Amino acid sequence: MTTSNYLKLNCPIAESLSHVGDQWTLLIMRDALMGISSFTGFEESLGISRRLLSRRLTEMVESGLLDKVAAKEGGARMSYVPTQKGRELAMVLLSLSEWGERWHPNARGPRYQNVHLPSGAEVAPRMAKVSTGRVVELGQCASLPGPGADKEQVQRLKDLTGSAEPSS
Amino acid sequence: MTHKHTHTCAIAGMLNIFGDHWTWLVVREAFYGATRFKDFQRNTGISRNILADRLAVLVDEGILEKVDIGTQGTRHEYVLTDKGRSLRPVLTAMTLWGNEHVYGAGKEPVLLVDTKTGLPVQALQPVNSAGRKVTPENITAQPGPGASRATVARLGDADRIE
Repeated sequence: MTTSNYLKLNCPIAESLSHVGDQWTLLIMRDALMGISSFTGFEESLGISRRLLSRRLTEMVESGLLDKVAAKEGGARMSYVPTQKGRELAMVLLSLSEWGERWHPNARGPRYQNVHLPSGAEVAPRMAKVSTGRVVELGQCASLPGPGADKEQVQRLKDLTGSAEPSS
Repeated sequence: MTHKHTHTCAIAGMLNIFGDHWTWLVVREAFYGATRFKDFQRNTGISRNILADRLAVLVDEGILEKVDIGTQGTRHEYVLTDKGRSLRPVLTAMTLWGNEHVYGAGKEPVLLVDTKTGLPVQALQPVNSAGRKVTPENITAQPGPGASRATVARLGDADRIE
């Protein structure tokens, strides 16, 4: 899609989508976070054309989601490794995967299970951590205009979320 | 959208619905409290025909419910269903990531705050089924009973999700 209009929206969700909104980009990131790093590894996993894969990988390196490094020092083969910015998409992927399993399950059962490794317990991103380190229900969190909001946005969020102002 | 992912993967399945960016922004507005066509239109700047189409998709998918309110002027409202409301963690994760990695501290257009204390939200906190906090670094994806052979192979030598 064209993103020109869309970036005028001054919105973190719109911005995130302009970086990772292409479906393949998120699936490449899913695989990269699971340890796939070679071009052929992504190709086999995703079954997309080499041309499209190559284009997406280049874009992801340019937007700082992946680092392109030599697989072996001095070797010609390249590896694609998630950067910190890329690794922090893990929560986006975890929440997408949880929602997909819950509402669009496979008849044979879950395809992925997100588990906490030491305990083996299944996990879900249902709470939020606030600046003091306290953990609160996601449902009691609301969106407010931030320091980068324009005037129109402040008004719009006020109109829409009048009841969501901090109550204390 | 023009292609469907065929992978047995929950993320790919979801992207079949949300392949279009505008769809997410319509859902975002629904979370902010928009219910009327003209509110969605004003706040997203989407053309009327694209908006009508995306709203219809979201109603078909059971994410929004079209409610007949039967008053003059506005006849329908679009309200989030349970399925729609459970997208909150996804939108939260996207908001936090965009704020941190695209705008940076002090430039965020939209902040998430805890409404009880006004404190800014810093991160999603994964919990286990008993509601106990778990460290994100210790989460890994494992093939479930519905995994395809390709998924099992891919996850077989997988690293941890950080």
